[in-house]
Amino acid sequence: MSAATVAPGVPGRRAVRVGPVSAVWRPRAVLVPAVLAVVALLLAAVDVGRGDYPIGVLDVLRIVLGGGGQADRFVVVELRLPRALTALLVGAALGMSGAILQSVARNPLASPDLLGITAGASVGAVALIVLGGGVLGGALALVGLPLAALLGGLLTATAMYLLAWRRGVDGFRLVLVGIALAALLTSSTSYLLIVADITQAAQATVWLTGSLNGRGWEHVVPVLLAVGGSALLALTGGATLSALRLGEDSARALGVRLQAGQAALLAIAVLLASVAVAAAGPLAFVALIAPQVALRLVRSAGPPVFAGGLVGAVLVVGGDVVARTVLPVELPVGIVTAAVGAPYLLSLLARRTRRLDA
Amino acid sequence: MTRTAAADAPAGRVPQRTARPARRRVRLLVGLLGLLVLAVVVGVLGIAVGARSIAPVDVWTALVAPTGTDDDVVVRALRLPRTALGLAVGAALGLAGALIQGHTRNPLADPGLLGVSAGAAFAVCLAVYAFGVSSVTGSVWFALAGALLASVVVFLLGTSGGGGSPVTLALAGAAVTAFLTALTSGLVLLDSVTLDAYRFWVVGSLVGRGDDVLAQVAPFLLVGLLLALVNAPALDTLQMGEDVARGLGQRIGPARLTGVAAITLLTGAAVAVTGPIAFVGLVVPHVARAITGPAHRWLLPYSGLLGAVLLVGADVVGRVLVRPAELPVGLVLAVVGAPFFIALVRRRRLVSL
Amino acid sequence: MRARPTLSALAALALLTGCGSTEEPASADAQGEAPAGAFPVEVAHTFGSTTIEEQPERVVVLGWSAQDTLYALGVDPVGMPTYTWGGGDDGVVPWNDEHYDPDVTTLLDTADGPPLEEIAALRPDVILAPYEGFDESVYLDLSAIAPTVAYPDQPWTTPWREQTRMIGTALGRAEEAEQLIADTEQQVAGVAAEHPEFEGLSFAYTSLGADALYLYLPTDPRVQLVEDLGLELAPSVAELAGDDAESFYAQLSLEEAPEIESDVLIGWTDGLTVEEVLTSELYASVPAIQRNAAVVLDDTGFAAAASMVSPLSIPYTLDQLVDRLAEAAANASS
Repeated sequence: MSAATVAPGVPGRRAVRVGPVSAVWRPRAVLVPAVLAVVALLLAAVDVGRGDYPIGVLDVLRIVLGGGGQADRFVVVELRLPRALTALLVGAALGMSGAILQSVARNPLASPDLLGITAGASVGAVALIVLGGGVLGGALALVGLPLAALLGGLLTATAMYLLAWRRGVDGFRLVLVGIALAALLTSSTSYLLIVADITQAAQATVWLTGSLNGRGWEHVVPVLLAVGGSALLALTGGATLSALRLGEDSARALGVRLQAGQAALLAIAVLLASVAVAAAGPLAFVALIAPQVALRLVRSAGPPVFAGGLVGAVLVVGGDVVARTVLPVELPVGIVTAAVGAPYLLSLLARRTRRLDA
Repeated sequence: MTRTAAADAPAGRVPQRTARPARRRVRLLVGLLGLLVLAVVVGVLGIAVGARSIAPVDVWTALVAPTGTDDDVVVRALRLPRTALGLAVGAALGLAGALIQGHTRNPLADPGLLGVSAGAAFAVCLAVYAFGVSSVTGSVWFALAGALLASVVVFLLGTSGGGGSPVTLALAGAAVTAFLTALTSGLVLLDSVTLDAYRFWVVGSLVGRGDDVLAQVAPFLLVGLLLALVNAPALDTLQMGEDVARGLGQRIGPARLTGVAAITLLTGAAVAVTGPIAFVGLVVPHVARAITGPAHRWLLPYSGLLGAVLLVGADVVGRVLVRPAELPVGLVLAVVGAPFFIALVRRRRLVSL
Repeated sequence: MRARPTLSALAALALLTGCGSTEEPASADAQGEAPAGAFPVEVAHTFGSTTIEEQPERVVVLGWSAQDTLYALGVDPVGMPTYTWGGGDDGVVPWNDEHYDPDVTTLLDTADGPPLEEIAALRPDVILAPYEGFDESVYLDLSAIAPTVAYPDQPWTTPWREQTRMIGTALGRAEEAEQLIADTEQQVAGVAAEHPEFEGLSFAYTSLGADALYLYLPTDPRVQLVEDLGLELAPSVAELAGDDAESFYAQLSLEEAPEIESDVLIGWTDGLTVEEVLTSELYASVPAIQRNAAVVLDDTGFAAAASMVSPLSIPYTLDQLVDRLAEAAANASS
């Protein structure tokens, strides 16, 4: 899949042609995503199979196939299944979003944070939690938490794009504007936290950490649509992406319509991240780390979009399994994804450094 | 993004007005003096302006001949320490920001990148959670230790193979930051008392830090300042790429180490006292660079002074905006600083690294 | 960590077993049945209204201090939240220690929101959350587990009398709940009668922070309790609050500390120790602190009791507060 994003004509590699599409055959680019997909699905199965409410493995299977008692069905079908699916999809969305952004920005530190999505969504969500009453709070309460977060994220991304627009959008300027907006919004969030009651502050902190608790089908559907749609678009935009990775001048020389391609890719990344953040809270580190891990596993030229998505899915579902079944206390999944993902990224970094040395 | 942190050495980026270097130097020197004056003016405002209206005469009396009136207490116990602290911390963060952007050659780097802010935050929470520390003064040493420890870990991990590219360092910093932030979230969610302390710390403030806090961290700030200034020439050489620098006889390892030590000491001490206000460190070097160009012997002092002016200026604004309440300086900084920064980004062609 | 509240528990018991109540107190027949024919009952809340068809046996409570009313009515919840603020090492607030039975009640860790599966596993008959802040999707999930009573209007603001009534109604004990409210009010009035020196004293209720001051205003239940003891909120508080006068509290710059004029002052430390507040040059400029007429407190268990107002926490709060307030009052009039 991500082989399609590799520029054709690599010496010593066999090219694969299917109709008009040609790609270089690189075993890692196929094997790694396949393994990742299997791992993600296995973890999701564990996530559905285990929990505080005692149901046997066979019963879970029976329920998934349509049987089982009413209470058991509720736990599996309304609580665990959507939760696991939200985890899978949110992880995939964030991983893909991060991979696209890191390719477009050609900066391994790029993540949806830089596009103001996280900060915007956080202000939306925290304002709703904290200002509960009042005029603004009342209006926010009407739209509901995920929508408030979604609006916050999208509005911020749009504002950022407009503010950075000056006879076209320069990537560097976009990122700087994004940082300024993010700082503004993050400070506002911190301020909302100190004017809040301690209970509201705690509730807001859970959201800010990223949580899957109580996520139902209404959370699954939007992320599913976004991930599915974006996957298709990213697939067709793969050539643009790999061209952009070579630098704007090279991309232009390759005949890529830079401005349009860039804007389209940014829009996809924004949409993916916004929908994911609206569903499960920031979990922002996933978008940063997943592409970098995928890059090192696949050993591709740039952050691979699909493998990045799969690493993201593994990370979030795995985190949820740990959070629900291993930890002695109930903690939001965001804590686990970061606590597990960060050391893994570090070990990858260390290994690569050693290899370069040798 | 026009520039990655990868080694596309900006060898051709020599200041364009090399024709008349002497005039340029005079201009920059005058600018620096102007900034110094501005810092003094802002410092005076920091002592004279606040939620409570005190006549300039009474402010003067409070400074030179206090008699213990309410005005005297407000000026001496509140305004003086917070202004001094603001100048010191602002300068430290400005300097640290210029250093980290120079060393990573990444214009998005802020002093928190080496895990300093996250380390301090985690240590503060641990102090409250495990050791029952409830006061700001009590947590300063914890915060400082956490900041230093975190950045040492980042440095070791990011350079574990020897050398270590700026990208690896930055990624290691991001990973350690995420890890510590996760632990911090865990602590604050398990214990609301910790959350209560944390949320007030994380917003960033100069107030109520106690008179002795500045004295506690001053040695760290001074050593950091010294290392930063020593580091300037090496940093200019390093801008040409490590290979060129090596060819010019620059020893890379020690130069990097000096820089990281300076960043860590400056940021660690600053964040320990005020909470993370890293935005200063991010913005200020960009503003400074727009004036001075990329040469660090100018960029560093400009960044330091601009940082001090910006932080204390924001603090003063925060005191008068919502009287009789106050806005925390971290918020004001972002609310005032962000639009200003955006305007700057739109109007000027920013000097790249 | 903090002294266990035997005194307050005694006070609470005294409240339940007497105080001029003519009816048989609820705790006398623990887990007693509601009057016949009370069910089905209907309780209105912010997400609509919930019908409870029959006498619930297994009750899960969520949010602040709902278990207090249950305990006061002689019912043990099968699940209640841990208190990460104000709770002891086990997460149980001090004024619940006498009632809490770990064999009957499962403590629910709500750090990540209501743990839905764990609640479902408790197989509750009803879920009571009159002082909470969850959103509608959580409410729907909870409702799928058992009939759920959510908070009445705004999140995290339910007045204690309303909370007590809602719980009483949901358990078919509406009358006993009314009696509980009356008894609690009477106990407060009794303390006021014992301390005639409180009458007419002006007070300020504050949070003394390291970087800001907060004034609690007339709409705050903590202020109302002190007013019920006969004191009056100082005029300087309303003046300083200005535009914020309608909300629960107003934030104040530390520079305004000398302007808080009142006979006595009650202050919770926030990010400072009591020691640090009392030795601070700045806080020494607050008139009441200067006269040693201030009650400065930093016990989070007590702070929680003062905030989570209920028929059980009020006696506990009075128990902790009244003597110190009397001391301060003595200095105020000297």
